[in-house]
Amino acid sequence: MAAVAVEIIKPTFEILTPGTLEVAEPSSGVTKEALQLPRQTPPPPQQPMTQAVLIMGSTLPSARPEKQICLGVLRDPEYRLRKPIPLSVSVEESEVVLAWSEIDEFGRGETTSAALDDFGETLRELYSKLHAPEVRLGADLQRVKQVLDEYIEPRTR
Amino acid sequence: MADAPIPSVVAMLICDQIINEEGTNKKSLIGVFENVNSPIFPLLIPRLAVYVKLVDARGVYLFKLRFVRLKDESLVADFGIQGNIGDSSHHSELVLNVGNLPIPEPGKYEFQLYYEDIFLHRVTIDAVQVQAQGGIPWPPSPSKL
Repeated sequence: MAAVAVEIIKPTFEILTPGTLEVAEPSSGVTKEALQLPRQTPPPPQQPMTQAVLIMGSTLPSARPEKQICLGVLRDPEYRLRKPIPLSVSVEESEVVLAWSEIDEFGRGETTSAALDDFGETLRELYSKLHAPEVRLGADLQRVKQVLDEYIEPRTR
Repeated sequence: MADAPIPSVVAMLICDQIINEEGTNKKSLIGVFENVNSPIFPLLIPRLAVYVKLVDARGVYLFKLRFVRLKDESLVADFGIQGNIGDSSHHSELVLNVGNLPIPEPGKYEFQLYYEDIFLHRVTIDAVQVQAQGGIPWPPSPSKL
């Protein structure tokens, strides 16, 4: 049976601001009122989904990108990406292989996400090694470092 | 939209329900989970919420949240979310409530978050088939009649 897309039932979303912990003044002590939960009111109507699709049928479409995927984050609180890294996608011996041709680095894994994790880890290690204070780099690695600096920056806060 | 900075995901969690407290905007995540046990498949999860905490986000974003079966990386559900985030100096929070999410069969599944076509983060849940508990086995033994 071919896959058929139908609308999912009433999904909603909200983009919210972070919460604030209200702490009473030390002199006021813990009162009976302070132990009460704040008043709860129903939330305002949530925004409807821009698009929500539930896939039905025995054959589900593939979620794996055919040729290219862009990596947007390094899972490291010390670094952020200035721009997404374009990675080519291929499958070799049932493993997903993601390659960044600009510096000839790759990551692999059982799934696309696992390969992205592997690639991200490789990239973080490479960035750290090339930016070590005592390291002396040849022309090739200087170029790789320059490319990495175009894409990766240390997080300032 | 494409000029907006790439947001980083600080936390992404799956739970039953998210309560937003009026005034303080504090969120309570009720029933955080990562495993789904069921005696029957396919199944529909009647209520589920996804919580995402973002940093470095400012501008209009078109996020995509994909629910993917990992066995063959097939797409089970796809959600498009357009939102305007005003201030990148603070964290932002994205709360998605979903009803009747299908799980076709036991196995590992992922919620994958994209900003347009840029992969940001993922969270995995494991759907496990378990034996039915409770009820009277059929045919019932004479002592239970």
